[in-house]
Amino acid sequence: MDYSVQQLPDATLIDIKGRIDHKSAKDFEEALKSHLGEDQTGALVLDLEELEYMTSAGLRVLMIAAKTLAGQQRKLAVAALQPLIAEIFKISRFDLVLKIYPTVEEALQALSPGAEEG
Amino acid sequence: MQVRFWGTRGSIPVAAGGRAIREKIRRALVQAAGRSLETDAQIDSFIDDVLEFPVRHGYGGDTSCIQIESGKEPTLLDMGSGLRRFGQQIMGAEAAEPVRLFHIFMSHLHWDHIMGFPFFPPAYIPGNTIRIYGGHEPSVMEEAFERQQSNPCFPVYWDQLGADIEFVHLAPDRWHAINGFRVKLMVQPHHGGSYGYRFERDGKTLVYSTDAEHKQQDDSGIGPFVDFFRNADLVVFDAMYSLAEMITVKEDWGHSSNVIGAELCLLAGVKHYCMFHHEPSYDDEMLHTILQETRRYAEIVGEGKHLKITTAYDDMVIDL
Repeated sequence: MDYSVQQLPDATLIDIKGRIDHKSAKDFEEALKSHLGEDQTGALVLDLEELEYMTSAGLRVLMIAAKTLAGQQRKLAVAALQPLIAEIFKISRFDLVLKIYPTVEEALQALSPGAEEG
Repeated sequence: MQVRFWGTRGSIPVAAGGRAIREKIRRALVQAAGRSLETDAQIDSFIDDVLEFPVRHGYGGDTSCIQIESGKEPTLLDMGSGLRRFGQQIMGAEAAEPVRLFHIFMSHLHWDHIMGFPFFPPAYIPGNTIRIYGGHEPSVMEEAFERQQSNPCFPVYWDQLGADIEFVHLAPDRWHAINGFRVKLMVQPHHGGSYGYRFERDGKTLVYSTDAEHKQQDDSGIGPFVDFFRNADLVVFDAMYSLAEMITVKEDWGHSSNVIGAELCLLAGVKHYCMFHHEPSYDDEMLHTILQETRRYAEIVGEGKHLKITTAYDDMVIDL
C-alpha cells in the first residue's frame, strides 16, 4: 500500500494506492492516523481510484476513522472506487454506512463546498 | 465423518410466518405456469430442479445443534432448540439396543445453546448418561442448565431428570481423545467466553467455531484462528452479521460476519466454509442472497484460491 496527502482549504485528500489486507492494514491505519487528531479540521476524502485490493481489515480501519471523525463533527468520504472494490463495499454493506462518491470532485463538492482539488 | 445440522439459527428460534409461506407458494405457482405438471415425477422434478432453494425449502429456524454421525455413541455440538428434533429422531430410531450414552460438546452456555435440553427425551430416562463437555468449569456449566430447569422458568426441575448428567471440563489448546475423535478447544472472544472445537478422525477434520467476534484483524488477531482452522475439511462459522453491522451497531454483540469467515478459511486453506448461526430477522431470501454474495467475495479476495461455501440449514447433511 502506498499513499499521498494533499491539504486542501477545507479538506484533506488522501490518495490510496495498491493493496490493503490483514498485513498492510496497519500501514493504512498509520496513513490515516495523523489526520484524525482533535487538532485537525475539515473533511477527509480518500481517493481510491488506484486501490486494487481490500479486505475486511482495511474496511475496519475505514470504519474506525469514520467513527473518530464523527465524534469531532467531521466527515469522511471515499471516492472513485474500482468496480471490484465497489463490490466489496456492497457485499460488506459498507455502502450503507459510508459516504461513497463516483469521483473525488463530487466528494469534495459534497463534503466541503469551499474546497477544490488543486 | 458425516455432519448433520439439527439447528442453525442464532439467538432465538424462528419460524416462517403465514406471509412468508404465502409468498413461497405464490412464487412457485408463478413459475409453474405453462408447465406440464400432471405426474408425481414431473411435480417432483419441478420442485427439485426448477424452484430455487428459498422457495422449495428454506434454511429453518432451530437454534444451534449439530450431530457428528460417526463415533460409537452420538456426538453433538451444542443444545439449542434443534436438540429437540434430534431427541425425537433417536427415540424413534431406537432398536433392540438403545443408545445409553451421549457426548455433547458446548461452545458456551448462552440460552440459545442450551434451550433444547429440557425437551430432550433421553435426559428423562433412567440408565442414560448425558456427558456434557466444555471449556467452562463444570460448576458453571451445571449452574446454567440447573437455572433453566428451576422455578419459575420450567415445570420439570433439574433434580427430576432420570438420566445421569455429567459435566466434563476440557482444557483448551491440547488434544483430548473422546468417542473416537481427537478434539481440541480454542478460547474465542464472546461474552462470558466461548470455545471453538477442532474434531479429527480418519483423516478428516471438522472445525466448529460459533459465537466468536473477530475484532482484531491483524496478524496477531487472526493468526491463532488461521492455525486452528488450518486445512480443515469443513469449518462451521458464526457468520451472523454483515461486516458493517458487526463493527457499527452490533459491535461487542459477540458475533462475526460472512466475509471474515471467508477470509479466515481462505488463509487457512479450508476446503468447505459453512455459514452458521443465522441472524433471526433474516428470511430465506436474505440468507440466499448472502450466500451468493459471500461466494463472490471469496472469488474476489481469494484471487484464484478455491473455497466451497454453503449456508447451513436445518437437516442439512455434509459428508466429509
